[in-house]
Amino acid sequence: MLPIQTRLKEGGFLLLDGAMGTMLQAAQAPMGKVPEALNITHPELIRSIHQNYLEAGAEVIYANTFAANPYKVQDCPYSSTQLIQAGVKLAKEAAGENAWVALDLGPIGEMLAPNGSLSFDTAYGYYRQMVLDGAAAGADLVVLETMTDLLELKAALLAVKENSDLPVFCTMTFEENGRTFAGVSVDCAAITLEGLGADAIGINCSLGPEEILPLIQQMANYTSLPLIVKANAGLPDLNTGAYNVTAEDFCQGAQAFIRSGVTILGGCCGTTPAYIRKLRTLLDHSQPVKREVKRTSRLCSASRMVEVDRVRMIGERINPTGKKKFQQALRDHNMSYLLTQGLEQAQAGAEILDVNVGLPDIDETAMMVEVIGQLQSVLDLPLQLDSSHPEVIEAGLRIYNGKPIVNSVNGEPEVLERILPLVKKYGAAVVGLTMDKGGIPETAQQRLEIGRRIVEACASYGIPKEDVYLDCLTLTVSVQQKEAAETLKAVRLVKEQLGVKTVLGVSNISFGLPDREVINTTFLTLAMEAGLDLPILNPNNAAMVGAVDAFHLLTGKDLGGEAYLARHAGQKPAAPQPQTASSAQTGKEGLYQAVLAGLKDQAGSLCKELLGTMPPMEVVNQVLIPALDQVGAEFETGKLFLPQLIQSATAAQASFEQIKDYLAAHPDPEAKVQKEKIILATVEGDVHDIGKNIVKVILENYGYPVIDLGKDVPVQKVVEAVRQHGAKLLGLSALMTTTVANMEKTIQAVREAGLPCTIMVGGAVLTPDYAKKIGADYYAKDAKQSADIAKKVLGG
Amino acid sequence: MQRKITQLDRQEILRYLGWKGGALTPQMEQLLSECIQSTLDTIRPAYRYQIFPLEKVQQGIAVTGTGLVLTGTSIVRHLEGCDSAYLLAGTIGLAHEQLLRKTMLIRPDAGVVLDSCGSAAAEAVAELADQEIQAQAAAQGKFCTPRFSPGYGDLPLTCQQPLLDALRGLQTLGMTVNSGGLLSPNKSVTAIIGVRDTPVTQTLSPCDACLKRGDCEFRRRNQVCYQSKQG
Repeated sequence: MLPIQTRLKEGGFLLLDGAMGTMLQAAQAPMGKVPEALNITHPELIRSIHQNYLEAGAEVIYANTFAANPYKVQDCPYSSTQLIQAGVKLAKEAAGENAWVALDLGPIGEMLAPNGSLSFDTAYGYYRQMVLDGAAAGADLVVLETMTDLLELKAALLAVKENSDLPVFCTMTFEENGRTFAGVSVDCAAITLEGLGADAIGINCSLGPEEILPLIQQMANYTSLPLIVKANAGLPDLNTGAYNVTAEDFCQGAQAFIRSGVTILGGCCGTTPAYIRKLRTLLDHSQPVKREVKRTSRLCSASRMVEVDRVRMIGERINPTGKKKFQQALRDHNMSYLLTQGLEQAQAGAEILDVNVGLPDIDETAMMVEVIGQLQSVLDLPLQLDSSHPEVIEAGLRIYNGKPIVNSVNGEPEVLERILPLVKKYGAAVVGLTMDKGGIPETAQQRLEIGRRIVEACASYGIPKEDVYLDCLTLTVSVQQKEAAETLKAVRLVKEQLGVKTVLGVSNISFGLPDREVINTTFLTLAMEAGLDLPILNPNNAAMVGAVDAFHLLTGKDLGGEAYLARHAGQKPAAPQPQTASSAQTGKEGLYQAVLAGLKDQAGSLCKELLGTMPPMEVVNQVLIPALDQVGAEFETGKLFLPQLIQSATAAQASFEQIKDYLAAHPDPEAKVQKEKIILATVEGDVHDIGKNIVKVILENYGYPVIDLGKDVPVQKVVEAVRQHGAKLLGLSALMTTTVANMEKTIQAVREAGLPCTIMVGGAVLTPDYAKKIGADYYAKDAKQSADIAKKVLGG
Repeated sequence: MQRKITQLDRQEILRYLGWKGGALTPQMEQLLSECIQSTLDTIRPAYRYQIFPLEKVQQGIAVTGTGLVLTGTSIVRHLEGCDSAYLLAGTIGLAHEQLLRKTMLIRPDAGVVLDSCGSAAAEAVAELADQEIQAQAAAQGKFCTPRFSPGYGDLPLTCQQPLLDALRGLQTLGMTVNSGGLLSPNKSVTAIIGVRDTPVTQTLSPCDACLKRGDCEFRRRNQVCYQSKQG
């Protein structure tokens, strides 16, 4: 039999089989823990279902291995390896030399972080083992289907490509709104999977042909790979489980798929050999439809695609260079600071975020991986992975969910050889700096030539032109005045002669000059006119964002000025916060009341004012602490409740920020406000961190520096953090009875390490007695109590 | 936007937040309304249920045609007199969880309110399905027990996985269980509802089976954490 790749290259139709589960139910097969156990207990039944589909005309049959992964078969008497090998063997026996056999793999059944606690590497390991087992048993291809999380699918796809030579089909399951349960959109799936090297992609399960049609038509716009549809036989009746689309209607639906350019067809839930037989007849009397796919520059996360068909702003703020606060946040592992930087830029209009976390004294690789995961858990913007170390780039590319940009390569052959294979393998786009070991060439023409070399090198690795973004490099105009014009000229040249998109860091231009904003916005406008597509800038600067908006309006990219009006109409000073009668006061009493009422902005400005007349420690001791104490007391008696406690704490924090700024400007070694560090973690196995996060907000607002280790934190990581920071107080949270066991292990490990650290615990199922039993020093029933404990242990 | 759930119970949300009664400030009222609205805008309520015959086995009660065996004394008591039971799974989806993560970072006060709104919404999804189930049973002249979920009493969390598998919860609802028995999306519900020929006269209060019974903030305030039928 020919390899299936040959068939794919020829572009002909390929008929897949129909549902396995539906046939098993109809045969009233005994459903144990996993239906794959039937491969061993009832091999005849499985083989006969395969035979039925082969007789109906299927050319590819899916082995009965969908859920035979190590996670799902934990309680099953057979191992994943046994079930996979038995399943593939049965399908091979049935297929003989007449059909191809697919190793069929579905989702693991536990969500990857951030939605669950399964790690990317664990998921990869599961798929890797299954691929090795399936390939050893003789599978002709691998099918990854019914996937809803693009990152899990990426782990699986990498596992196939890195551990076998088998072709791989990827199909995801969408709801009618064009999103998977995890929020993945059709365009993002197509772009990402094609980039990662899938052989064919498409849609299966969940919906019938009618509902899938618009989705596959959309997908067709974003990929030139062969398209797959394995639809359900309509929608199931909630009660009986019966499906509502007949074989005839199913086949009608398939005609529409063929007209849309789909070439690989089969059936999912509710379909039977009768459906496949109808499809066979249809395919035998149809011709594949050739598709023309427009190739353009696109980037994406799992849920948001950004097409570079106009100027798209790259936010530059996630970068420690020259930013003391940011550097400290990296050293303190202060993720919420980094994430807030991301959220603010998104809010301000950034459409892509540059991520650079390089500092000499931190593990940049680990940090890059963590920051990408965290940013992608709260933001849907595509990211630009910015590092000078290939290993950091690769680690980031591996974990990134979607299609990112790599920043950067240059004209140096060694750099190109190191980075471009990674860009190709992970399906990313890449920034090419038009410089080499000779530095930045003086003339635009020379930069163009380096740009040409970069584009050619990319092409030789199979990276298409639309995924290359050339950076013609901004120099400081106060030092090299002529260079500004040369950079603009270079942008124009590479655009015209190489036909690639361009990127440029804008803010450098004005370094060393007064009134930088004027220079920056003017340079940005000139660069956009010269053909700049991706300015790297600070989106929190309204003038820069305004220049981009105005450019789109003036050049007709923003039809009807909708985007311009959306951001600029009705621009007026921020609405004043609702005032309570007492909050109109100023001075000590005003600040006290503002904290009590939880008015953040007001508390901040009143505190700033007060610092003009009152020493900072007096503000803390005479106003903020008493105010927080009153808030705490009112919380205890039920006069205030949780959201208000947090509001007051946030107002107090705004005041503490003012005090920190004041002290930075007026250093006074006597006035030490900094308190002892506290470490917080939600224990291993537990991903419910709301309670811990609330505790963090409150403790920070009482002035304690908090090292937040996050959720699902391994025991050893907690021990190391306590040791590293010399923390005197550790707070652990766990939500469920099952994870309290890990809390106990963590406490034991800290004790065994001989660390002099007080431990407080909290969480839904804990009680004071239970806390004592597992060896904790304190039980905190809520966030307020955790602050009381901190005060007692560490002093106010 | 979804239309399955059009409102949430304010009192219930406040209860989850630890409110002990009394007037709310206008700011709190506003925050609450805002969070309820964004919850209604973000959730994607979905549920499935199916009725299965029950069979007494040595370990407890087997749900016929599935891999689920219910063990422990509390579920056996709960299903007394039932020859069949509905399995139910429902969720508000992951999008709300994503919004919550973001909100906890930038506005933690709104975050905690949003979290409680999500809990109330999950409860509303379960209630919606429950009502359909009761109507279906009533049409057959049958009666339903209240919902009983894994983790209540001594019904172990390990039955989450076979329960979800029986309803194909992964494929149809995007629901999964981690190794600790926790559901994803977080705001999800699974339950067992017994069906019997006679009305249920005396049932277990969920509190009787709860591990926190001796140390419960809600009971101390004369409240319950679940949606009480009495309102």
